[in-house]
Amino acid sequence: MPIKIKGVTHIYKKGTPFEKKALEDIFLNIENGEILGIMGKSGSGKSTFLQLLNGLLRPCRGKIIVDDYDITMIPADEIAAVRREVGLVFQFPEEQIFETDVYKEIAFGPKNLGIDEKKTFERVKTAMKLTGLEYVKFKDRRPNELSGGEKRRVGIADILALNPRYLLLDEPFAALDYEGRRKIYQSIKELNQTRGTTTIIVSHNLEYLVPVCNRLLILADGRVKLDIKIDEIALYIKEIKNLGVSPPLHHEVLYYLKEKGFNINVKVRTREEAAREIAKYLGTLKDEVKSG
Amino acid sequence: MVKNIGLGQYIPGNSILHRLDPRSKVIGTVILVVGTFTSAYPVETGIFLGTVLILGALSQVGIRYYFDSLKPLLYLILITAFFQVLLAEEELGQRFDAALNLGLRLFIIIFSMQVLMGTTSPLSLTSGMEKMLSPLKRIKFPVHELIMIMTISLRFIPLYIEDWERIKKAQMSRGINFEEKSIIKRLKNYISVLIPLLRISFQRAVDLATAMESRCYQGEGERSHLNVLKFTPYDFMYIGIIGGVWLITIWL
Repeated sequence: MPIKIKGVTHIYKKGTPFEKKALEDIFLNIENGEILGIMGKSGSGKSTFLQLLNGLLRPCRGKIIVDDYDITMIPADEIAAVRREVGLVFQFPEEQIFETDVYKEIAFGPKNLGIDEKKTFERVKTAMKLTGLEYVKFKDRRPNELSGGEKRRVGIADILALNPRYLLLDEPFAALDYEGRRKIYQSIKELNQTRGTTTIIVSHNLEYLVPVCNRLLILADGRVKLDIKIDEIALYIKEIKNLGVSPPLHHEVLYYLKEKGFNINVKVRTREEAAREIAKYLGTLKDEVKSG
Repeated sequence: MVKNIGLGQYIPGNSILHRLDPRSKVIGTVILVVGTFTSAYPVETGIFLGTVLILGALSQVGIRYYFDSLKPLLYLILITAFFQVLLAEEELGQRFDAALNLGLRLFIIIFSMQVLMGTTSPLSLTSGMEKMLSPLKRIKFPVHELIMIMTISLRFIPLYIEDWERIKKAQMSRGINFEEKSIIKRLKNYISVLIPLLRISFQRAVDLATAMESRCYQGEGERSHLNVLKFTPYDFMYIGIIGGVWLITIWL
């Protein structure tokens, strides 16, 4: 069942001199199985949005409907159930690690829910597999011996072990190298394909979202300013730039080629696809020259 | 975010007390504290009470501030007074009197500290302390280092509060319930916040040390200051008035 957001407004420290509007009048439907990327400058309300979806924050106004339940109406002592369904991976999840080895760390969540030893074991194993952490190799390692990327993946596995139906990731790629990002892309894609997990990823770098998302949302000043499919980026370069976001280079190249009058297909996602389109176009050009 | 105003938090402002030199405020507070302890009950203590209340009004940080930050200390005062009533070896009437005496003194002392902390930024407070303690440098006492440690720890408190809130939220989204009914379970759950917090603070300490060293920071040696502290006539007046109050109570 999809997530429906109806007219959500959130104001921090309402009624004090420090009052700050984070989100204003958000209307949004998130379909099942979607991988949604949310972009925006710092302070645009991205993180607030995620915390609203998993019940850590409550909106000042509006409804958030997850699986047909309005989670804004759920009492505080039952909200934990929502957090299991809607798993939120915080920025720098490696900071929250506190157990002495990787297995115990990932097992903490399920155990805390009262799941028995055997099922916990299964869950930890799957979570580790999904995040590309080899079970035998990593289960007994101490978290502080791991590399930054590996720690990050343990942090994500912590949440995956709860078997959430929706996964929210806040800046999962921050301070990771290409290899680290690639591993996380793989996890997200696999999770999406095998379990159909709806995923929402927040990032301030559009380039990081392009390889994995299929829908893009740009927030600015607490409002949704742009809501497009990911392969439509090249069509909206101007709008994206006006919002203070720098678009991926390959989309920009395609946009300018198109603008110069080249008859090129700009509906692409990755750099490789863009290169192929350009090559294809150059090929047709060659043929024209030959036949002409 | 932590809701109420923290104990001893600085409230920016531009009152007479805000503009005073931190050194004179520290000296004034010390006189008030010593004077209150040595004063005779009730007249002299009453004079000190009046003095701190006037100072509180002059500080212009609002009654709310004093009320909010005194609230947790009210328990301390009440408990102390309670034991005074319960355990002292005098007659009941006298015991109540003694309890009130003690409670009042505690209140005055805490209140005068509040005036100091509310009107003096941590930075100027520590630099004032450094100036005041500088004679100790002659006997090789590491004044500057000590003050640096104080400044850093004061600076880091808000960061830890932020970390605490953030990690707590992260653990909540892992299904940890901090509203657990059983206290033991709740405390156990807080371990999941404390351990990461400890690790982060160690990391931060190491990072800060590296950053300071890479900028060639050295504690010893003459360091100059951007804002040089200077006594004004107001400062002498302030110390004079408070010192005068003290002398009057001694004379009484």
